[in-house]
Amino acid sequence: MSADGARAAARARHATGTRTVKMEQTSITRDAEGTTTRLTTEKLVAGYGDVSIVNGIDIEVASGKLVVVVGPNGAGKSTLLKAILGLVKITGGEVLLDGEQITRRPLEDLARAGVGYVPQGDAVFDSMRVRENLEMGGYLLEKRLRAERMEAALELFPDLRSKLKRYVGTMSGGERRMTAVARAMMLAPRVLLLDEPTAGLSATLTKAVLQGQARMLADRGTAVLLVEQKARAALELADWAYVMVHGRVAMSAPGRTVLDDPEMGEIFLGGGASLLDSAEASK
Amino acid sequence: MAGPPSARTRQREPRPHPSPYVRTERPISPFAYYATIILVYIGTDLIAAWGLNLEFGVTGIPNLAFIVFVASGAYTYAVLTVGPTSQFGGAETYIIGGRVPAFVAIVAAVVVSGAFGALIGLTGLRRLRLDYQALTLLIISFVATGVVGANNSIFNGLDGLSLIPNPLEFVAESQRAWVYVGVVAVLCIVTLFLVRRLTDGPLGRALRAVRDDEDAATAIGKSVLGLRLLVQGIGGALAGLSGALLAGFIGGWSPSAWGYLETLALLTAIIIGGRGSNRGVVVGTVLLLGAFLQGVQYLPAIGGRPDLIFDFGWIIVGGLTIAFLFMRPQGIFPERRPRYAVGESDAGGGASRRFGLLRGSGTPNRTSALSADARTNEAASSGVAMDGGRDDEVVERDRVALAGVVATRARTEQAASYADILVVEAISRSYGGVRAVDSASFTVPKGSIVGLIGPNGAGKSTALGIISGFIRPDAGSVTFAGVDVTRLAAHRRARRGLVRTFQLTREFGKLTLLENLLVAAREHRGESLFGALAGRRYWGAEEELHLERARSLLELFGVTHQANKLAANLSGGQKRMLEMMRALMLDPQLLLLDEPMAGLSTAVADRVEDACIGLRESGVAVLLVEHELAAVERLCSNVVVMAQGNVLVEGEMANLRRSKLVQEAYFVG
Amino acid sequence: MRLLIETIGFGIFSGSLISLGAVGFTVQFGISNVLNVAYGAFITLAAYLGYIFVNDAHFSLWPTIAVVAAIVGVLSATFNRVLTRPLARRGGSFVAVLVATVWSGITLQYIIVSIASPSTFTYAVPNGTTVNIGYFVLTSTQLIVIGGAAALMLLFHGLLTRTQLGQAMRATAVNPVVARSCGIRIDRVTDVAWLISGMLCGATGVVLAATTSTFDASLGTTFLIYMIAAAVLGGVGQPYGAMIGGLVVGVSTQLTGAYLSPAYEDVAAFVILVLMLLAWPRGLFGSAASAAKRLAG
Repeated sequence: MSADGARAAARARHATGTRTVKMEQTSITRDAEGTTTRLTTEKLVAGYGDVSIVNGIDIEVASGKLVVVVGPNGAGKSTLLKAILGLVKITGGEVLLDGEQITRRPLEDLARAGVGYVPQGDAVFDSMRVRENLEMGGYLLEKRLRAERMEAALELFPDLRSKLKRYVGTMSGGERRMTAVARAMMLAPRVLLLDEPTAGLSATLTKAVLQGQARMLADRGTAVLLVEQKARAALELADWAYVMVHGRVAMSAPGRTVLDDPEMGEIFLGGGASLLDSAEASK
Repeated sequence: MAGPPSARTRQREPRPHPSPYVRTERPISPFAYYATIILVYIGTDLIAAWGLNLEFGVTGIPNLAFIVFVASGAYTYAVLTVGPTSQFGGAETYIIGGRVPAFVAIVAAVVVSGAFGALIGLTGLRRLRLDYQALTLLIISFVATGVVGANNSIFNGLDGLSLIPNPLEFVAESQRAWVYVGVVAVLCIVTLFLVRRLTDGPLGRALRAVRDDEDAATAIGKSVLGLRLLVQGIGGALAGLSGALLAGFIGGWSPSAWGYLETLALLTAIIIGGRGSNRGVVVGTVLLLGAFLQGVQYLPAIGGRPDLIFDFGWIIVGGLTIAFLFMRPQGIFPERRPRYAVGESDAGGGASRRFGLLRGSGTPNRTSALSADARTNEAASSGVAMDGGRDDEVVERDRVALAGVVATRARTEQAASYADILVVEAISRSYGGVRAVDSASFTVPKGSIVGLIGPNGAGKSTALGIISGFIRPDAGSVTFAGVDVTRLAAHRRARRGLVRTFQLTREFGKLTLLENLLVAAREHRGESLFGALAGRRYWGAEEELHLERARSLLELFGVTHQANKLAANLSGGQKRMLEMMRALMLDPQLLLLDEPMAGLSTAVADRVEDACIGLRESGVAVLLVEHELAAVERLCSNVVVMAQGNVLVEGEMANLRRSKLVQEAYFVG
Repeated sequence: MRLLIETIGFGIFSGSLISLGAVGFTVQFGISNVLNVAYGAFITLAAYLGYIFVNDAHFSLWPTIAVVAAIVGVLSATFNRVLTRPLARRGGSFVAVLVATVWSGITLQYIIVSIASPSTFTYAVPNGTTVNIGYFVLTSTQLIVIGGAAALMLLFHGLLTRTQLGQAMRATAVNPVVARSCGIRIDRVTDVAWLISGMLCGATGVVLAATTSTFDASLGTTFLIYMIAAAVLGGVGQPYGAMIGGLVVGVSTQLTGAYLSPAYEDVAAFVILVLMLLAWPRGLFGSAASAAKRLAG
């Protein structure tokens, strides 16, 4: 199938604005599909008020890949995610999903277009049960499909099966994370955006979340874009990494390459300058 | 319960028949009759409105129960002046019955209402969100009228008190009303004078700071509780005066005169006229209460229903209030902040007297991936002019200038016995089972710059909060300048020289940049009640001194030309500099900087760095929480690394950078 | 003893009505973070509209409740769209929004009075026969009200837990961002929430007027204190809390009225409200997180 044909088919399948999303497949990951989804940003500029925090970012994430954005604090990583999702004012550049413009599109429409989001921190419905959280995730689906998707989600995250009736607010950090991601997967997103999913979690739990949620989903076909503060753990698993410093991409390379780069310590402990200069020079 | 709102029979007789409560032997002309009534009502409403404006417009206290304090004044006056049995043989019951001279009774009314007002301010209501406070006060007002109205034993219930002696009994009947107008007019002028003294000078600035941001006001050493109590006391007193004058004029007082609607009418007058502006309040009160609510009463009835005019009046007032809240919340005459002359560097020129971008010598500057053009644009948008570069002489001169502006206290304290200005010992704090800070200990030696770094969630902000007094620790101690301050209130720590800035800038949005600095002056005679009342002659000289300091700071940071701009309209970088300058005005001995360089352009961040160096050389210590680790390396003699709530390791940044332990902490998080 | 039981019985009746109204009020707060003081005026409006239908158009009570509920529902949703939501979005402070709702209520009240005249009114409905159940003494109307309120609460519970819409409402109230990422159009959901809470308000107003001997334009204002007390007691924003809170407020105010004085009923409600706010702002069902968010400002 030609690229255009694939795109057309994808567009036809994920018609936005319809309340009930008719997607034939019940599997919530992309194993079965042959087409590749691609989310890109082009020279994206965004920020709050008159301050630009994201200063011209080009990134790309495709199906089956785990792409990680790391960088020191204040670099603009979370803001980048929020900009892609239309939660922050965009003053320049574009966001494209399979070639289609989705810049500034509201979050609820992006959900219909197949973009999933797990925000930083408070990402679940605390006062609702696990089952209800999952059901909310499948809000757009018709009943039968929702039930099947829930089953699929529980297969991905079997730990949740025994906890369906528990109130999420009473669960541990790791379990809440899991619920949040499972909730997002209910819509079988083509692209999943995760904002610091391991914040506040211990080292072991961090590894478990990154492997068992981010990496696993990417392996099954979803395009996963992950923003992480805990760079090492994320880089170990990533297919590709962007290092953001001061709102720009200082380095763009496979995860392993970035991890092994001797200057990585510099970037995180203050010396990003040289890398930025060389990034500028190579443009 | 309070009667239906349509029966607004506040004893303002709308129809021309002589009332038994206004004793006239020789009747005055109808015109004089109405005119004096309206004028007295406008006058007393003005006094009350200025009081409510002081509480709400200037200090931000949404006192929707204000009318209750007016009533307390009226009842106090009445109860003190009327005898136990009425002249006409009526059997009215009171709680007290005395025949106190009118003047004394009025003073008593003022005092009682003032005390009552301050009392309300002491309750826990102030910890609630502002709309909850407002709602609770509104309900208090509603219930109060109801309770009094239902109980004959309380001020004679719904019937109220009557035959209240007019304070001007000694004046002939035919002239009494006009003399009353005169007395009220004089009292209005006195009130305006008093209120202006309170709201126009340094005290007014401090009150507005409390209104704009209570936490930031605490951080610059203001006692928020004290200021609120003061304002509520004075507001209550003015309400009481208004009430006493009304009761004396009308001769009667009952619950129908002090329904919750009255407060709302005053509030609307303030909103429409101009919140926070005394002149605006006059306009709002005269227009709304005078012309509108009062005046309409004298129009002929419509369709045989005399109350219809009332109803229309309220409907229109309601519509106006909502319209103004939507479209012009600042009112007809918005609050205007004073503009100050700021000297020759107004235009942003004067390159010589400014912290430059490049240092002549010393550690390498922070470089940026931005092109030169972008750098210029960024710098320009932060209000910082570009220098080509400057020499060490200029840098040194700036540092000396800074030392002259601040650090007077640090210099005199230099000989003190303690080695460490700050000793933090085993502080801990948990939130719902999560240990945000876990037995952390570190020190800051006198006159040094210590860095506090660590990944997100390491507990740095909580530690800063504990040190500055905004967060109470579960365990541990904080010793500042040799004194244990663990139990000391946050605003007192600020006054002693332990000053903090905030991560998310907290400027006083409705004050100008210059005023933001002035309000942070550590001691100002004009901020006490006595000082404010004594006027400019008393505090003017000191104000000049503080102005000089503030101007110097503005110049040093290169934002002189923004001096008279409202802080809310400043750019992000300028607001950040405001935080720093405001902290410096307090003459700190230890400055807690919470990520001062986050989101700043290079030019501005350099400025902040230079200021830190200048401070250190003046003997002021700095505890710097920062993610900009290159800056931390340049500035700090010692760096404390926190992770998971406790102190991981300490040392020089260069060594820490190489430490696997630290790298792991940052990488793993 | 007899007095106690009778009073409690009446308290359950009064509490049922308070619950009905309080749920509407608390839902509006839960979903829009607004203390809608105009709610009281909408109760009054419902009472007067009901009067027109019952007395002038000779409808019977049940269809009247339905029609008036629908009208007030639509008006409430419009009120949020036209006033409270835009004002909050434009950066109106919490106090500004509150003052706007207060004045909206006052304006509405005066519009009603100017049209209807300030006199008191009575619904032309029969009082119903008195029923004795043990020591409980209630009229058949009151029993129907208790039953009806309970049924409506059950319906509402069903809405919240078993329908898509209800779950969307809960989600929007708890976490708007995550709700949006589930595809929920929170603006529309909010509109519907105000519609439904407005309908509850309308029903409450009609029934309240029908079961009071006489009423005037201050009907809603007084009742508002009871509803707010109930909402705060149960935890603002928590519908189930409002249901229970209503019963507690109803019974305790009736007990106060019976054993102290009828004039103190309002005071009892007020005392409950103030004590809760000062000592236990979270309320029965409120979570620590939501209370902190909403009360410290």
